[in-house]
Amino acid sequence: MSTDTPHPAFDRLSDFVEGRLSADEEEEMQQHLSMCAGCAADVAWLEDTMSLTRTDTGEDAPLWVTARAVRLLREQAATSSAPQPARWRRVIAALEFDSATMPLAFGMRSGGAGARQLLYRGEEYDLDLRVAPEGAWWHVSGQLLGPTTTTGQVALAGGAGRAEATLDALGAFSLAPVPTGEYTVRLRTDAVEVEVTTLRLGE
Amino acid sequence: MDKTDEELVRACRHGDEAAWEALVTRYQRLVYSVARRSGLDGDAAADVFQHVFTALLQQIDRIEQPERIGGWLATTARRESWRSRKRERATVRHGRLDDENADDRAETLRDDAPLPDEVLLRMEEQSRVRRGVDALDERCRTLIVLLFYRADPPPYAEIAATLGTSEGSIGPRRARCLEKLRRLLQE
Repeated sequence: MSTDTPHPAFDRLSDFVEGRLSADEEEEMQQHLSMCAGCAADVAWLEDTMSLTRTDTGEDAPLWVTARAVRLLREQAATSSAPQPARWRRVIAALEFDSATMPLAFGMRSGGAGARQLLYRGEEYDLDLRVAPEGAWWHVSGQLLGPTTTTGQVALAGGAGRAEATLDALGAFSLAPVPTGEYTVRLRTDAVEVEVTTLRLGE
Repeated sequence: MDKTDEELVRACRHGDEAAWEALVTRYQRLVYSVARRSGLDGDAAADVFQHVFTALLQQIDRIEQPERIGGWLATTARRESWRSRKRERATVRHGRLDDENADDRAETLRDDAPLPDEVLLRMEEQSRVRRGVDALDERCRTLIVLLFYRADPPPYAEIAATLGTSEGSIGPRRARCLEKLRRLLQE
């Protein structure tokens, strides 16, 4: 008996993977694959690849979207006259959402059980603040989200009081309670300082 | 398949516009698909797309593993998409008219999880295969897409009719195209 087993053509291997062989042919193929590492590897590649393609739900970005991103480099080259920009910069965060401004019917403004939520955005940073009453004082906590890790420090400062805390690895923090009043919030990481200029706590 | 990711990134660092265009074109599908798969509509996905490539350009000198730029782009797209969803959900939740209980209102946004790692990795692999397919000649590309980019491929007779060839030629041609694809992907 010849020890030289002829290898199935790639054609045949594809038929096998696609389930186009008869039961007998399949069995013959299985036997060959159990003895032939090369063909087994081919079959594995076919199966993996077909599995990926058959479940691929990807879509191309619209042409204008891609074109807009391609223009970025030219725009950057055109606007930068100085060498590298300063690594550390100041960002003022704008208020995008404050649950306290929702209509009274929702029961939030009257100091109901839920925390007040404020969302700010400054350039590529998002700040999510929560304000919860603690007796006559206010407990401020939240999370800073940025393009890279956002560990750092946060300081809440105003005429009525002050609190500081460290940002954890996810940019989250929790400050000691402070009295009613108007405050500034400053978050500082190694890349940026994000500031909320006016935060009113309590009426 | 043309220049490697590492070569493109290094060229971009020197301000090479052609390299930047090649990089954006190479990964546009992956970045956009991650945003869409994260549940964003076309407009929101377009915003995420621009944020991701803007971030890449800003940080391009500091990217530690340029050969893994695909992974960086996918991960950044996932994070930006998650944040976009959070903002979306916050405005939707607080705008609801039907009254839910107080716990619901105080619910954090963190329960909306980003795409799992396995899904992201799979999408990266799919993007890689698709790039190989797109680099094939048109006849092979058309055949591969017809045969393998659907959960339920049509019968060979139908494909032969679409391509204007004999049914008997489909099988062998498919095999040749798959072999070409494998060679491309192994480079």
